[in-house]
Amino acid sequence: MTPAAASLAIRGLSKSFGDSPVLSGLDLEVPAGTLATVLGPSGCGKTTLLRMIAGFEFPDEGEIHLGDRVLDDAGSHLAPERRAIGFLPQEGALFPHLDVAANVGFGLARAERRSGRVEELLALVGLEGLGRRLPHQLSGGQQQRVALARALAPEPGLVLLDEPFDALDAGLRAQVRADVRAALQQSGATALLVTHDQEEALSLADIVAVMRGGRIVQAADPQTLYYAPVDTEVAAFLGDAVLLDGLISDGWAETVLGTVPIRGAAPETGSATVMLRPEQISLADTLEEDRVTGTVVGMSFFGHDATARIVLAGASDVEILARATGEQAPRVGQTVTLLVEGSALAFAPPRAGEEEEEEEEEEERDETTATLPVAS
Amino acid sequence: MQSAGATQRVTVSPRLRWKRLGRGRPPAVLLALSAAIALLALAPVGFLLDQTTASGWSEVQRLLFRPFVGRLLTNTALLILVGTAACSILGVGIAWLIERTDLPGRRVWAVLAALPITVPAFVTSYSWVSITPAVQGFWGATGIVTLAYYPLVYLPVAAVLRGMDPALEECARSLGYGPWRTFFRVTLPQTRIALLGGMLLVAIHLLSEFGAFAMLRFQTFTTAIYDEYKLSFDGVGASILASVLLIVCFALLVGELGLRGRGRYARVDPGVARPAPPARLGRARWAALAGLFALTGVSLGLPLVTLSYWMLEGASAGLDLGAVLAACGTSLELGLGAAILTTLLALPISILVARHPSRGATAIERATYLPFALPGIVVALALIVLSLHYLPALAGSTSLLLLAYATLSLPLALVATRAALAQAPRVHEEVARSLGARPLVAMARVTLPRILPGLGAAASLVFLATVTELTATLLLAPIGTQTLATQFWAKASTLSYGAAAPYAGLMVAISALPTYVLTRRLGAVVHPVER
Repeated sequence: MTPAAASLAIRGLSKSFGDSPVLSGLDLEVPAGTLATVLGPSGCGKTTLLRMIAGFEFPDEGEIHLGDRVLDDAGSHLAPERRAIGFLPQEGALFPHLDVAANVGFGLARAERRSGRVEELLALVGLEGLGRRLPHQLSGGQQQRVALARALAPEPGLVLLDEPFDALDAGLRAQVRADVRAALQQSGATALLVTHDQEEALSLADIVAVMRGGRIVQAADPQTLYYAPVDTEVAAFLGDAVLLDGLISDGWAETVLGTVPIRGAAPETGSATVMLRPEQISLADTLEEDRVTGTVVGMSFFGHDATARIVLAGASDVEILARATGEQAPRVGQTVTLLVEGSALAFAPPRAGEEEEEEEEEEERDETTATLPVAS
Repeated sequence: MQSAGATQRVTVSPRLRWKRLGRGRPPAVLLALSAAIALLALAPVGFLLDQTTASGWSEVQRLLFRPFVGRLLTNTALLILVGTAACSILGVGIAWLIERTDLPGRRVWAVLAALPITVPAFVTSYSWVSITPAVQGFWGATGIVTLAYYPLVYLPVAAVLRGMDPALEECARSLGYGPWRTFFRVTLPQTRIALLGGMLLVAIHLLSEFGAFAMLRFQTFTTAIYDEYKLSFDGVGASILASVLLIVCFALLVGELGLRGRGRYARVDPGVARPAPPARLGRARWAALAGLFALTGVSLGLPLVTLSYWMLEGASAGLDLGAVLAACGTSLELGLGAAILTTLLALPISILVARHPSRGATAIERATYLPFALPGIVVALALIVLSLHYLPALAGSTSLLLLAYATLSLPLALVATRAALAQAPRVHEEVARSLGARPLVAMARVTLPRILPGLGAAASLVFLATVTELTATLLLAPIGTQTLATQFWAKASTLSYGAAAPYAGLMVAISALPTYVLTRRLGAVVHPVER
């Protein structure tokens, strides 16, 4: 079973509903055989993007290519049924009048339906022998897996998944997520999944594309994205971030937490915003000379770890987030020493260098996020 | 990048822009088909109005401003006023007793209270008149149609009371309101939309009713139009009276819309988890029970008992079984034909509204709802006049009769098919298309199986309305075509009560089956259509 996994290329895709722009010049590349997620807050246009790739919406501008086929460009629009793109909507949308086997076999020719392909697909998603069940006799997680099997059945070059785990309760979600990922990998298909859940995006995907204001602001593998976000907004969206004012010189930043080495491209000198992840800040209850100290003012305990909010001694307006293992979590009111591990990222202060280029778009972007209808 | 995009946008041709409106763009065939059906439903009435004005203003004046028309207007106004008020009081009272109190046997009463609607009003009137001619005249007529039509208020009000959030009443009580004040200040305003809708239905039924009033010798517009029509087939007199009736109907429709006003905001979501604790009737429960007994006795028991009596009487006097069965067959055929035709006509409009919503689609849908407010006699007359002038081949044919049935019951079919389509979400068709099915194939394989029950409900509603339809059938049935309704009418008008009974009995029996199916189904189907 080796379907012709295809690469997806989107260039300059734009779409407005009435006066409100939803996508504005979106670019995205997904190499063949990878699992990519599009991550963005609700209402950023993720679902519209997916529906456009599937062919349900007509783009205003831009091109969509799948492998060497043109799906959409200035003059042509390929009908959804001729795209060979699998689609898994949020709620699964199994056909309620058909049993599981008929659902999975829906996109297959009659001969293929009898060839054992349906059983093969049910085995792929771990639901052997449930072919005769009706959709309402399945749990939510099982329904989603059947929907995936149905989408994979005609061996599509690309599978689209629209927040497929959203309707499941938290306990079930992790397991179904793992099963879906395994099934996708085994099938070898290219997959594009949209979600607003950063943990889901990071843990699931080969490539994560962060979407904001109708375009992709950064697309990279999860680690790059987490440790080298293009701006502070992306940084904060992907997880807790500690943002500090700093003074840069020679690859070092002077901050309230001391002097921290800077990695990656950074302004050579001058003031900047310095970003650390909470897990880079370790806490000790032994008080030493010349070390930065602070008081714990709040604590959230998660079991495997804990996040402490700390107000620095001598700089009471700065609040720092630090992550400790659950066992070593400090108590509220305790005085601790803070130590930075590893290096930090530095961002030029907003609107210093890019102002001329970005200003116009920035305004439009604000408007977009404010007036967008909720996509899902 | 941004400016490049802007210039590119300008170069897109207008035709392409239209094409790219995407999901809102209805296929031209569907749009044209829907518009044609709406036109078909409205054309006869438009033609009737045109015909009336074409006869010349002085002629209109001569026929309109005479004491006879004045008397008709007074009669009709009084009838609507008293009849609607009586139906409202009866309907709301019964709904409250059954839905919100600890009355014994509420489940059974809920069914019994709705049943009188299944007996055609002209059959009810027949059963009363056959006992005593004393019921003829205004008060008798008003009383009898009230007993026949109060379920039109009871049913929607009961549905709202059942779904109402009890917290509203509890809040009122905790704020110091007594039970009566709570009912009038909190409960009743909640039912406002349902009550107004029910009142409108009653008023329109009273305006349209012909058989009952003819039987009860109470003259309204419909009976007067029928008499004029009998005098001359293509007379202006009937057309003018029909036009006045038409205007009164529209005035009612507009009036109800105006009264409804901001009421929409007060609507309660039907899905409420907690049922309201029933009010305790105490000793009053026996009085309430006696009242319901009496009401069911006169509204349901009396017509059925009388009917059974006359059936036995008629059977002993010699029954022409062949004629009865022939009429029954004709009624079934016509009902089936109308059901299929009307459901097919409703389908394109429902698809247009459900899948390609737009202002144009809504306008088309609303236009086809209008004939629901039109008396059968007006539609029938309009079709006769239209066919005599333009389509003589159709005049006096079964096709014309079926067309009248379709026009009159298209709204019923629309409500049911639209509700069914609303329950078959678009996403299923999209998934089917992503799996390689072309649009029509996707519709046939995925949507059609889901809406089949809805289509069945639509066909049953039309069938029910057609089998019990009297007025249009009397006017339009081709010579020699005898249905249950026309045969019943012919016998009953000559006071042969025994001979008329089997036809009425069969009509009630035939309409009972689809009613049973519908009450079981519509609870699930009609609900989500309300927005």
